[in-house]
Amino acid sequence: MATITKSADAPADAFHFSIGQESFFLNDATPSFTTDDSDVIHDAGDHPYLTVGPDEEPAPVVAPAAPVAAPISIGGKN
Amino acid sequence: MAGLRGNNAWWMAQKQSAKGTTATVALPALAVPGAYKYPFAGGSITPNRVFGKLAETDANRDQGVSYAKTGGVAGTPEAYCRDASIAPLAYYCLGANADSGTVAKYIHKATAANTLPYVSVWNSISETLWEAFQDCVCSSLQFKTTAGEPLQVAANFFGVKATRLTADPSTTAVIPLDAGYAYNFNDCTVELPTSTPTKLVGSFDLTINNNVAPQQTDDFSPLDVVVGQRTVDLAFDLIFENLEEYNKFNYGGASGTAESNALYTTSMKFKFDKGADNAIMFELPTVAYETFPVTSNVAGTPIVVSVKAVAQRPSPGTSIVTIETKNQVAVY
Repeated sequence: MATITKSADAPADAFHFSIGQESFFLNDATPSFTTDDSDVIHDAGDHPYLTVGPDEEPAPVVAPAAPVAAPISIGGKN
Repeated sequence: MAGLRGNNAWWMAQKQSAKGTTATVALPALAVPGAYKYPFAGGSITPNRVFGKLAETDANRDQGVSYAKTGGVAGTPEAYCRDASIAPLAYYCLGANADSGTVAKYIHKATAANTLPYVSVWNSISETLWEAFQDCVCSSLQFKTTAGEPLQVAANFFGVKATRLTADPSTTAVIPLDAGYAYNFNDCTVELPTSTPTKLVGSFDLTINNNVAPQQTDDFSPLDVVVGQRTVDLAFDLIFENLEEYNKFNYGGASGTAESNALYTTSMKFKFDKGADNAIMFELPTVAYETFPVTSNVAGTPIVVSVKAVAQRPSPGTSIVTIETKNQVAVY
């Protein structure tokens, strides 16, 4: 999965992009899109108007801390 | 009149949404790529039927009986270059396209990609024979013109499936035959190298070849049509007015005298302009000359060198060739 964004080299009014079979509109509201199509990712990397972002890794899942057992109070010796 | 008239004909192309489904013919709109209809300027596109002959013995000398090997679609329809209908062909052949600009002047920049779109192609012969060709891929585009002549394109397609239609496919959405201005070499400015205009070039012949081939498995129809290695070849006539290019090609520099093993490369641009808002431009960032023949002639006419060059593989982010079109169509 990668994010493809209109690059700074693209004309400001560039709005529609086609790579192979895929076509997409990019504008201020939708400045980028994500894809897992390896051909599109490769070709976008060679496209003069597009930038391919780093692979998107899912946010790491932080495991909840293991419950700490409450200290067992042992009554003092009588 | 006995026989159907051959000059009543057209071919049409539109990108498919996916492989396996013939495109629904659509009129191009602001945000909708559509179909473009071309007058034939030569060539054809037809079902592709390939035959073999059994090689077996018999009691006589007659050759073996024939068998049908494979079907599909193949053909090279030709058209004159008009800015509205040439941009989609550039995209189909190069694989990537970016649309920019606003009403009155949209700019379409087709650049090289590894993947190519599937295209539906239709033809009409004498308003009697209509065919739909599905899952076509543009194998090559050849742009060609000479001094004073219109710019012409030959588009070679291979496809998976042919279907004969019983009605004109371009009437539900009425697709007009492109009758815009046909660009001429008189509209061209040649830059050799880029940003250095020259008046010495008298022809243009650019071939972008994806070397597409049908892929057949266990069926008469091909499974797919697959792209091969891309080659970009350029040829042009150059009036031999000085030694500069000759020396660069043979002797390592504009004033060189010693044979050089260095590969001479240069950039080139061919800009066909029709006013400020309409144009077709071909840009090659790096080409290497392969032949630069300078020969005498007994007639004493000026020497014209028929240069042949090959576009070189570019660095990432640069296209081996770019075709930029300006017109009044929003998207392709």
